[in-house]
Amino acid sequence: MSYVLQHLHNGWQVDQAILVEEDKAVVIRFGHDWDPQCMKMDEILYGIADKVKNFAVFYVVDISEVPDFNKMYELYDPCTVMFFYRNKHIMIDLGTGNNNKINWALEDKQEMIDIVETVYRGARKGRGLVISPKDYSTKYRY
Amino acid sequence: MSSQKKVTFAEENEEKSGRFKGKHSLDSDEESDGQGEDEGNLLDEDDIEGQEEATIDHEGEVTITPFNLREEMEEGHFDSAGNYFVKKSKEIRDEWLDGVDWQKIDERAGKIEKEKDDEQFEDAPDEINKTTTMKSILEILKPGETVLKGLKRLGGKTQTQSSASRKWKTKRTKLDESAETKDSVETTSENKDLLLKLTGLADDLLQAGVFSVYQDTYEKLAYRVKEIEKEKVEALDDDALEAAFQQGSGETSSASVEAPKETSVDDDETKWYYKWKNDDDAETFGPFGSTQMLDWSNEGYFGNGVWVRKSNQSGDFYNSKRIDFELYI
Repeated sequence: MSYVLQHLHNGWQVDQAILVEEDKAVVIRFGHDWDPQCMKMDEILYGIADKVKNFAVFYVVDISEVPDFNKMYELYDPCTVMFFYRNKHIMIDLGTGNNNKINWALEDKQEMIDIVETVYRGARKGRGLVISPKDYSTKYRY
Repeated sequence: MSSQKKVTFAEENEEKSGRFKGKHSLDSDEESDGQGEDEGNLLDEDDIEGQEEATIDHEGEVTITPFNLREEMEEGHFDSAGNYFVKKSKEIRDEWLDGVDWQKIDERAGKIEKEKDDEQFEDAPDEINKTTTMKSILEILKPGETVLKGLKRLGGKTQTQSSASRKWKTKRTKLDESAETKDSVETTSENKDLLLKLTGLADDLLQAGVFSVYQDTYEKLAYRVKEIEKEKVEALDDDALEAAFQQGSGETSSASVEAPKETSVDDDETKWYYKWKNDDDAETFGPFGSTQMLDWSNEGYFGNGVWVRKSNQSGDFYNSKRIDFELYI
């Protein structure tokens, strides 16, 4: 099955995407399509979208086209990935100190699958904060 | 006083039965054919509490039904007990109905209803029985044992104890079980009872549709009991989760090499491999179920953390400290 990462073009669409999904995790990449870091991340997301399609959906949002969330979600990095479940933001302990989002490009598909799965399982069990299987603190120190 | 009451009660009864025998129609077991008689029984509209007047009929395309029973009252009536009867007056009457022997039909209807009741009665305790049976099996089995092995253990011992020398031998060799073999006579009969009980219980489960019961390990049965009990609490929600994940894991595992055999071993629970060091040549253990892993990590068995990997994935090993095994149960 071919699967394209769907773009959301305005704030309402973003809201709806998060709101409407009943039993899947919603993963949104905020950034710019032309950004090299985003390209890398999109490649990963695209690669796993089909594998996790049963419990997660991916969307991409251009933060210049849709600046509505930049302030609220503090979207100042070139590439940000955030997780939602039933209209709730799911935090994830990545070991980086910022539990709100992934603001770099992952290298490994399996790592992303594991993170998404953890988020989904945690969210299903009512957790607002899950722990990513891998600790990214040593690699990306702020 | 009391005797007088009895008399009136009997009279009433007579009256009723008389009516039922005499006037049979399609709705003979309901009261609507005697609408005139029920006049006193009707529910007065003033007795219905909390009714509200109609405000608006439509809001956009949505029809608003007023919060009252006017409409229903037009199409039928309530009796004083709150039962609703639709007006039957407009119904077409079939000629052939007049020739029906209502006495017989009533008898049969009674029977069918009784059967239905029985079925329901049987159905409900079935689920409870399953868990209780499983629980009693768990009491007999030892951890890690299948029902089959348990039967062998219980049955086998009675054989070995037939000769005195053998008994002695088993005593020597199976020092860990010495507590059980000490007073052999007692345990023999005890084992026999247990054996019979276990056989019976396993058979019950088999009858109830748990066909893999003989191959199920202690852990699996325990897990199932847990599962059933959990299901009762959050029946729908959890099912959906598991279903989604079985599909999901099947999907992801299609890429990995060793996946097919793992997914088929246990479709209920994620399994894990672990090793004490994150080296390629370190010995890996497993696969173990998430419940087991959770217990171990809660008991501190893993100390400063081991390196774990899901059995159906070929990815990197993660530190167990960062894995919440509870999520996978």
